[in-house]
Amino acid sequence: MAKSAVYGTEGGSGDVNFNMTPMIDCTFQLIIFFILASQIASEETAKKVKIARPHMSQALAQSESGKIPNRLVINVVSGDPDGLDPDELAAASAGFYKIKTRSIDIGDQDALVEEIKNTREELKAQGAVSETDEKKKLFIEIRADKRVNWEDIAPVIRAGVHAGVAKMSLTALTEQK
Amino acid sequence: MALSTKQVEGDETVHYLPPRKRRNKGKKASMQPPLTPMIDVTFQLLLFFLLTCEFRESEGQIPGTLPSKGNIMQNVKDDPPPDPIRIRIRPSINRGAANYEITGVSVVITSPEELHQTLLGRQQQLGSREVPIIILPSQDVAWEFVVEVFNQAVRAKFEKIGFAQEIM
Repeated sequence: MAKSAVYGTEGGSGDVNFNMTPMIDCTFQLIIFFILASQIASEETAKKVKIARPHMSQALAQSESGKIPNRLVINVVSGDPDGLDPDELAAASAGFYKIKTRSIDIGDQDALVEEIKNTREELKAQGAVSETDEKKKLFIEIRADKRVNWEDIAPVIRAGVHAGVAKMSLTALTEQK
Repeated sequence: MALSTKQVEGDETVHYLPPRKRRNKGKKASMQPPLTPMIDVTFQLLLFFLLTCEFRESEGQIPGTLPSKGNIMQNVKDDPPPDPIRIRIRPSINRGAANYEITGVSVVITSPEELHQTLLGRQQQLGSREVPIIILPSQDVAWEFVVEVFNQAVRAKFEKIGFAQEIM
């Protein structure tokens, strides 16, 4: 009986073995790529916030770890985070403010101020924030959706002032290289 | 002797040889660890990463300062600051653009580059980077245009940039 040229088996009764090695090689390459490329979601940053990319952005890239101990990120999430409304009217109004895992209603200025003060006390207790050390002073980062109107973002700045925060920063996408 | 039988020495019985043994006859026995569970786990991992992976653009910060408490509506009488440059931001008819109006500049600016050039011109005219810039966005202007103005002011190396609310 004729011998199979490919598998070296005689006739049709032999086992057919697939060569799995290249497939496993490719799979491992893909896994390594995804492990290296993926970023672990931080509790500080809310998902689905579309960040503005200004022309010739002056935004300074964040530290490698992305974690700055004396920073308090205030997310302003759009009322239409998925962009379902084609007229963008819903997106223009903020849905809620998000500080860490806590959501604060729009218009609740007192809660916003209170949350900033509480977080400062927590960070002080942890030693991450100090009132005397300039480098360790608390600063707020306003991470707002670019579609939201100014009227919903101005209260965040006011809350920062009322809570006695001296520094702030605006989140923007860095310049494309 | 037929392939399907084997002869044992000193034994007259003809032993049947199954096809699997016939195929492996003369081949070296190879040791291979079971790969199936590893491939299973690998594919699970791959599927997890494929489904959960989300590519994000690189975010950064444009640093600024906030006024100290109580200074928001305060009029500074001693040592008044030089006349600030006021930039009003108004939304255009379609929400995809904005108009920038600078005090002392008669034309309405629509592009960020034009805004930057105008700010540089004012800086040279005044001969100082310490001239305060006050950004006055209208209530219904999108945040991206406010960030744009702040960014262009930082790009023009102005040192004092602040926000203010227009009193209606």
